Amino acid sequence: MKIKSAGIKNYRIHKELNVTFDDKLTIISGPNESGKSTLVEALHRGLFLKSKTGGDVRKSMLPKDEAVPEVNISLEVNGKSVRVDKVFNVTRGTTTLEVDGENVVAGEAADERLTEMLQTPGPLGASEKLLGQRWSHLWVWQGASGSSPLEAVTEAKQSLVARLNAIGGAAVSQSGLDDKVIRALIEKRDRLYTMNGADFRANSEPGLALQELELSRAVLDERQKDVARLDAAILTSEEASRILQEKSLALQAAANELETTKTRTREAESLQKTMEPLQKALQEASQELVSLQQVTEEIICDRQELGKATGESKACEAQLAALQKKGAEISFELEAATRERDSILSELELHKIHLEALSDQRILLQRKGDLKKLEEILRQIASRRDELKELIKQLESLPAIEKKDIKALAKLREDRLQAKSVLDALGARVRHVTGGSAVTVAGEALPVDGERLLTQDSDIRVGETLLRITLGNVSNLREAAAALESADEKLEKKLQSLGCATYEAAIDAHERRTVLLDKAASLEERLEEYNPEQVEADIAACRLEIDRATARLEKSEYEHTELPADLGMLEAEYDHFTALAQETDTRCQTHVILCKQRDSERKKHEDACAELTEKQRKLWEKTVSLNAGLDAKVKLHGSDEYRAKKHLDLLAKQEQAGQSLKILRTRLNALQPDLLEADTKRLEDTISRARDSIQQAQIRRQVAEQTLILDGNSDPRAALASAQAAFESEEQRFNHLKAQAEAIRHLAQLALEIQQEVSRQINRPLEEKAKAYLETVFGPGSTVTLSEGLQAQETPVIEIGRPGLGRFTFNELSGGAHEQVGVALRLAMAEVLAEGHGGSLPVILDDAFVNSDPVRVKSLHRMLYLAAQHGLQVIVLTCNPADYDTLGAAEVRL
Amino acid sequence: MNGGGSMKILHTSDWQIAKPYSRVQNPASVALLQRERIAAIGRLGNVAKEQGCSLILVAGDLFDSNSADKAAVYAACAAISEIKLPVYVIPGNHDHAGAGGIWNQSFFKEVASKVPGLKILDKPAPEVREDVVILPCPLTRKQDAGDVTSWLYASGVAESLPADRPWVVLAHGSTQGFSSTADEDVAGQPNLIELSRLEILKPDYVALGDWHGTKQVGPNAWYSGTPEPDRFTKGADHDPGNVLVVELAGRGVAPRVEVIKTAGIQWHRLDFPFSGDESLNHFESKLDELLGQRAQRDVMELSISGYLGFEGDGRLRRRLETLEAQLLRLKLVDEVKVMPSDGELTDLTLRDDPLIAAMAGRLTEEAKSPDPAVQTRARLALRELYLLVTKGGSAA
Repeated sequence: MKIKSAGIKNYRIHKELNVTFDDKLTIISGPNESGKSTLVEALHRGLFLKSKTGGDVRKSMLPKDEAVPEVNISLEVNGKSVRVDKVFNVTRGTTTLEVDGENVVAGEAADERLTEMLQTPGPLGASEKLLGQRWSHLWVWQGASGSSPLEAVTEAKQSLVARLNAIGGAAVSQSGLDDKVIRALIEKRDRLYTMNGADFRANSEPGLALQELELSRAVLDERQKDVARLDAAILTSEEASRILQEKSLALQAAANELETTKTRTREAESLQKTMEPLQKALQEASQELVSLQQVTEEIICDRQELGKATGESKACEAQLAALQKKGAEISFELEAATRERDSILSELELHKIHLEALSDQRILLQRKGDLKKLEEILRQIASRRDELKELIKQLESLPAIEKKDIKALAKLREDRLQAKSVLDALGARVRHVTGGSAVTVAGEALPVDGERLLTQDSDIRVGETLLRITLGNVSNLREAAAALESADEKLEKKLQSLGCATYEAAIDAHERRTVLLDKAASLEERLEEYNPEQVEADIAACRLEIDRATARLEKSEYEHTELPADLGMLEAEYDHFTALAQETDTRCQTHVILCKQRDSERKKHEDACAELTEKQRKLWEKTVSLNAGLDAKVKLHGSDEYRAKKHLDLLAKQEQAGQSLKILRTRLNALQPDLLEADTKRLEDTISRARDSIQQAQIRRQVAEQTLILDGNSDPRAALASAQAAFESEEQRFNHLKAQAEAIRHLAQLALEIQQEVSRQINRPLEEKAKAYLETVFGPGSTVTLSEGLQAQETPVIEIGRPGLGRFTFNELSGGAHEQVGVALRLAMAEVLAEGHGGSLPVILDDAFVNSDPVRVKSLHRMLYLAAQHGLQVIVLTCNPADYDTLGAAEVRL
Repeated sequence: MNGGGSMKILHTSDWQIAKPYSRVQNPASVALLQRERIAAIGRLGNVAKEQGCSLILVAGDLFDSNSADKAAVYAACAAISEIKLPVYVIPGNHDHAGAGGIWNQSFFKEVASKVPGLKILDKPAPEVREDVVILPCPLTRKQDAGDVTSWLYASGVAESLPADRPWVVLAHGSTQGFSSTADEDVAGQPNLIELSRLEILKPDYVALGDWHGTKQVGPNAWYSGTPEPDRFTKGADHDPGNVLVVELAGRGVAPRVEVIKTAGIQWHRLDFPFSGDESLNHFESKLDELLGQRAQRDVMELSISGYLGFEGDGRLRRRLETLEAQLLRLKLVDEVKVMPSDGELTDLTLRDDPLIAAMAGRLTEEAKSPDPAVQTRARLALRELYLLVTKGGSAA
């Protein structure tokens, strides 16, 4: 089938458009929104949509002026010319079909006939979904180029499978028995294994065998434990027996050794006893020798000491005589120096008395001057105090009006004036303007030029005429009059409390009081500055000092001349005598030092004499003592000759005892007495431990033997052997069943694999055709494989092999490759299907390569050209016609 | 010999009473086999009486287990008391006299005390009888590292023995280069007895136990073997199921030993390699030859190998089922490879069912794999496929 030409009227933006298509390759180009996609949509609806269609589908076809859309298409189907005219006018829509050599048909019969010729299920109404599916394997709508072409083949799948079967021919399909065997295998496998395909179902034969195996394993474990317990008890018992044997032997050996050790200990003790008197004798002889030696040495020493002391005593005597002579000379010099010092000290004392008298005279003169000044100040203070007293008296005669009182008065006066002015304003005024008749107002005459304020109804008599004035605002007038009266009262009361007759008198009294207060404050301030208490205290202090100085002067020993009465002369005299006293003091100090020196020398000589005298005394005492000691020692220890003989005797005694002890000690050492005690302890410990071990082993053996006592009701070892055998038998059975199950699973797997392989053979012609197209783009060696036979319910996965790059599923490909593989498969499907359509089918590609780069688009030319060569009619819609300038296609520009 | 004349003793061992026969799955068969061992005691008692034996020596392993149950003890003791002859027993490795041993269990002592002739020699001490000196060498543990006869060489032992009557050593264990290696026994160090050293003592007879076949291992040293076979033997010279009647003419006189059969159950071994379905007939006649029409009196170890087709394998399995019913126990060592016969293979691979044919072809290839697991799986799968196909695809 080929589309020869199309005419469109009133179809959205196309008022009228006529396009002629090339039998092989047509490029329809035009800028965006020029109506390319609208053209192919009109073409699609012209072929598949009933002309009596309304609803949204028709609305979407309408132009702006809502004129009736029309589509006319010329086709070539199986070598026959076909012309379709459709007017899409809802219920009045018309379809006219003219087929070469056939009668013209119209209406629904024409729609039916057309779908029959196009081998589609039937004319479509307003279902957009179904419209989209129809011929979607040949019709790549704009934006749909990346979708899987196998998913687009929905409607045509059956015819595609039928065509593939027809082409394949050799492809095998499974037999009935195959089916049965495979189903049986899967059923068997599923009865054996759970869904995960690895675990046995609990109720399957191997599953049950496995449970039995686990049970027998548990029984075996129990039996093993029983026997292990017995075996362990046997081992314990044997071990305990071995220990008992060993320890009994060890116990015996230790007991024997202990007996030997005890014998040796007794022997050692006997030897030690024999040695004791010998040791004592030896010790005594040695001690005696030592003390004899000591006495002899002491006597020699004492004699030497005596000789030395006698010599020293004589030397001391000579030294003492010389020192006593020198001491007499020093004492004489000291006396002379002392006398000179005392004379200077007397002179210095006189100077000090004179200076003290001068100092007191100075105080006397100074304080007398001070006293005079202070007494003058005191007089001034008395005068100020009198002045202050006078002021206070004046103040007391004035009423005590404070500033706040004045303020209060002023306020009250103000209130009164206000009340007065209110009353004045409210009341009526009667003025006597001209004379003539006498005028009385409220009984009181009103002179000419006189004026009266009326605050209540009043009678006015002018001559004989009595006039009554009635006031309008009586209540306000009364209030105003009362207010004035109250203000007057308050003012009067305040003035009375202050003791003033008038407001002005109060002001005057307050002002005078203020002046007097200021003066009094000034006087008090000045009095405070004088500080009269301090002045009186100072006067008392001056007088005291004068009295004291006078008393001292009276008592003073100074009696040479009159003391100066003038301060200047006094100071000069004081300075003169101060210098004199200092000079005398310096001289005195020199003589004091001299006296001290002499005295110190004298003391030293006295000490030296005392020391020598003491020394001489001690030497004498020592001589006496030594002589007495020597005599006593000789008397006690005998003469020199006696002691020498005794010394020799003692040496002989010592030698004899030493020899005997040496022999005994050698015997004792051989017995190693130091180790015997430790040996005894060690062996006793060993025996005690061995006894403990024996006891423990006996207990252990008893416990073990207790465990080993059987009741004879069963034989645990036989039970173990049976359990072991049962377990092995179950294991063997399970392994056998497992092997069988695995064989079945393997068989089922194999069956499914082979089934899939057979099923996939149907795809071969399609895969080969697609491969030819793909090689034009991806190069030789490119492959296309479908995971399942197309007849399968599930859509197969498309797998692409690219030389040098590996294998990819359709979904793994990039956007560009998606488009290219998609078009290759669509062309292959079209080619397979074309056999049933007179060798040709149109393939419409509306902007199908938007993701492909220009280089790849160029290589696509080869694919499209190949399709055209294989009889397909390729119609490409693009906004970039330059991309296809080497395709060799007819071009239609919109 | 006190009095001068000769005397006879019956030498036996390895009664293995209460053997559990754990590999025998049918409890009735187990009971039969166990009862037969008790019956053997009666048979050997009869032999002793018929032969005029003065006593019976049991050279160890009277019981199969040191924890034999009361029922077994009762049964054995009852059988022994029927003999009415002195029965001297030493503990062997299965029923040693060590801790927890059967001989010390109160229930054994109670039962044994009522059997006047039974004497357990569980101490290494001479049993001096008027007619013979028995030198027992009991085992006190399952595996003894030393020689149980050592006590005989201690100074003063030989000298204390009367020299006017024969000396019989009664021991249980292996001798040099010869040991019990039963297929169902726990392998272990043998309790070694140095026969050459025993010569120093010049015993008149050495009655040995442990080896279940009857065997002479020295000029006057014998294993009596078990009176009732209890296992499949290996090799033709292994001869169980006997007792020995030993005639002793005096100290220093060589004994005369007579072997007497006492076996009840027959234990067979049969190796049969199949060479296709045709060899099944030969196999059948071989079985008939061995078993005849006997039932429940035989035990068989059957090792089958070679290959069979699916049909042949089916026949074999059916025959094995009947064989198992006929025997007390069938121990099967099955190494038969089941391969489709040429006809069966053609049936599977050259058929109009393309999937079945393809599967069969694939499995036939797999069956040639060097991996034995793959091979086995392929053969089993082929068989399964064959069965499915022959049943017309029914999964039942």
